[in-house]
Amino acid sequence: MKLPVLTALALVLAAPLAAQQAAPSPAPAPPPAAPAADAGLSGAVSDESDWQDLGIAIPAFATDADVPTQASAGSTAALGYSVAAVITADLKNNGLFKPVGPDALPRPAFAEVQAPAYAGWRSRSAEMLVQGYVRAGADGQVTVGCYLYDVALGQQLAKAGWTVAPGDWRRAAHKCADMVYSRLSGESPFFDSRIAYIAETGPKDRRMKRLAIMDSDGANHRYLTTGQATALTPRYSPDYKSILYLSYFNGQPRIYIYNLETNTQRLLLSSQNPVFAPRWSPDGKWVLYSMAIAGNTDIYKLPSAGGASIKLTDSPGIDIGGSFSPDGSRIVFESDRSGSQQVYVMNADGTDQKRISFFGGRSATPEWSPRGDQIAFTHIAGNLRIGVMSPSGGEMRYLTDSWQDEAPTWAPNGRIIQFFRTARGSGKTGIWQVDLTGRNERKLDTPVDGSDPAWGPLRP
Amino acid sequence: MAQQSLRKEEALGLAVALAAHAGLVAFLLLKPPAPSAPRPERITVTLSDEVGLTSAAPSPTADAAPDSGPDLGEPAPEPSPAPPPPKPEPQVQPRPQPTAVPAPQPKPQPKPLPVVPPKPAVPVKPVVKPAPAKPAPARPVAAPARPAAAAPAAKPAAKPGASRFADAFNKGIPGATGKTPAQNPPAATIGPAVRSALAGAISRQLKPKWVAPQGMEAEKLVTILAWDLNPDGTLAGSPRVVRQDGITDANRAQAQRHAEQAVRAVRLAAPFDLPSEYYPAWKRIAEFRFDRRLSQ
Repeated sequence: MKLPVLTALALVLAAPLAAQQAAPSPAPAPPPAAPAADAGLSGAVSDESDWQDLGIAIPAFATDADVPTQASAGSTAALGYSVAAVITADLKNNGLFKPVGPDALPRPAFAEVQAPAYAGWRSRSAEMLVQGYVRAGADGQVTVGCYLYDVALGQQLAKAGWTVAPGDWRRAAHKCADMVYSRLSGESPFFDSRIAYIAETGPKDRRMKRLAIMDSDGANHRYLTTGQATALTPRYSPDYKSILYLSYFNGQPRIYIYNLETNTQRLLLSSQNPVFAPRWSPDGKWVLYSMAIAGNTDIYKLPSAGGASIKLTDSPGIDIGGSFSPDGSRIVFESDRSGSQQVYVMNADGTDQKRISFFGGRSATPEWSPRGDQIAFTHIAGNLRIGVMSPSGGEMRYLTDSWQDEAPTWAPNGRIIQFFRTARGSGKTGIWQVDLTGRNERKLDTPVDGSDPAWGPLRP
Repeated sequence: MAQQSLRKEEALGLAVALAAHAGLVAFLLLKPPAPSAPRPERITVTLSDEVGLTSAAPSPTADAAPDSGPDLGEPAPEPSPAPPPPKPEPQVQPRPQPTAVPAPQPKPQPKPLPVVPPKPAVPVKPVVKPAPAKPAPARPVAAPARPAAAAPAAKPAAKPGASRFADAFNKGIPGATGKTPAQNPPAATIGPAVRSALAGAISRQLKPKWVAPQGMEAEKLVTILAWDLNPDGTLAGSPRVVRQDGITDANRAQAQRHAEQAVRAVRLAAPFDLPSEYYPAWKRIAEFRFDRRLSQ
């Protein structure tokens, strides 16, 4: 009888010892075998410099013959200048590049476009060179060619050309900027895309909120609604043909789908109860929304063609703001079932709901990245800040540090987040962008105050 | 009953454990504080994974004596070391100096001196002449690497008053030479210190050309390149990516760019300015890490 007791005692005593012995894991990697006489040299080099912007020279695009075009910029020579200016503006301010535009650079000859004078560009301390040409076609179309060269190495890195209608010349410039961006950063392009947002005018207490769209650089701005009804939370459809948004008219919430091709809109849902945050599913077949019935807000999904809603959540608190994962299998949403707003994840059919945000404070407006690897959200702990986390709730990082930043949405490449920032005191709102490193922030210029930005996918 | 006894055992065990713990606590409390050992002085330790398995440094021990005989005669500074050599010599060469051995050491030495030189003067000539011919080709090999080896050889020749005892017994051993190069040659392989310095030189030349791409978690990326160099420091062929480490879902898009930037840095840094005498060591760069995190 005593033996088991002693054995147990021995085990109890031995356990910590064993744990101690097991604890130090063999962290240091095995030392590399000493190089034999003919194994060659090995070594390492680090990059201790600060993150530095890459210098890019973008001279005006050349043309073989200066002929008038239908484009708003004018003749092919003027168009070549404007294209270079648009590319420069695109590449500026995203923190990766330090472009020098056509104002400060000589325009190369047409023959030089494919055989750049490297020596001359080296003396201007440009590391990269974007050259191109603009040619008018016989049918009124415009052909834009774009070449990217590494000046230091003296070699061509990328080239592409597009034939566009004269009215679409800015798209050719965005395509060229996309080519340069994706070649030099490794990321997917995003300049050739459009942004829907809510344009706000008027005094604080009687704000007029209109639905508006624009190119990613703020050009081609257009209002879609008149402002009689308050428009909120627009979202581009995955096929770019329509915009889903929420409208309050005389206090009655309605969900509309605005068709951009026909400039008509279709009423999807009208309700007596407060409705929030409509979102598309990635395949465009479903619309998620939240509705409050007798103080209990739950998330529903509804076929985008119209039909009956399906209730996905059933908790006594407020469940709101669902956003699909890119594969459509899961939904991230916000709920106050634990007592304060937190971020939860569930399957697309509403099962397996679990909380993923445990960062202190409150977490709201989650939005799943189009790449699927991150969830952006607003973290509320004193100030409102934009943060990102992994879909399992780990690796939380702040991207902004201001007074009130909210409602993040993703650029189509999943590397830039757009949000709106409210200035302290004045209450003025503006649309801002920040990249995933958090180092590069910029304000997007809009004609009037903007909020609720929604980035559409890359244009085909 | 069984239950009762079990509980008893348990109680007993508990009591023993408690007593043992109490004893331990008491011991720890009552134990006189151990005199605190003086803290060792801090020393700086440099960690290096450059370890040579073979000793590449020249032998730290002194050179073995050249297999030439000692000087006979009257070397002015060293009277005492001179005596011992004659003792072993008779065993090797009984023939030439039977008289020298029994005679008292200081005295007979001057005697053989006049005797020996005339002898070699005539008969040794044929032997001596081929002898210098042999060291001649060997010298260029030894001389640049180890000038020290040449120096001792030169010394005895410079001594005017002494005769080379070696010459005396050279004539008895056909083919023997008076001067052989030192038996421990210089390091055959280029050592870790040199390799480390070479890697440092390459790293210094790459650094201004090497710019890591930016992006989320891009600092985790590591590209390992290999490339070959010509004797003039230019690239032979193009650099090759051996492997890449630290690729995550977030930085996968930058991995290709990271490797491209590393290759670009090598291309821009070439031709490399490296000491040509170590060309065998730097003609092949087998693994060079391009890593931003090293500095963080």
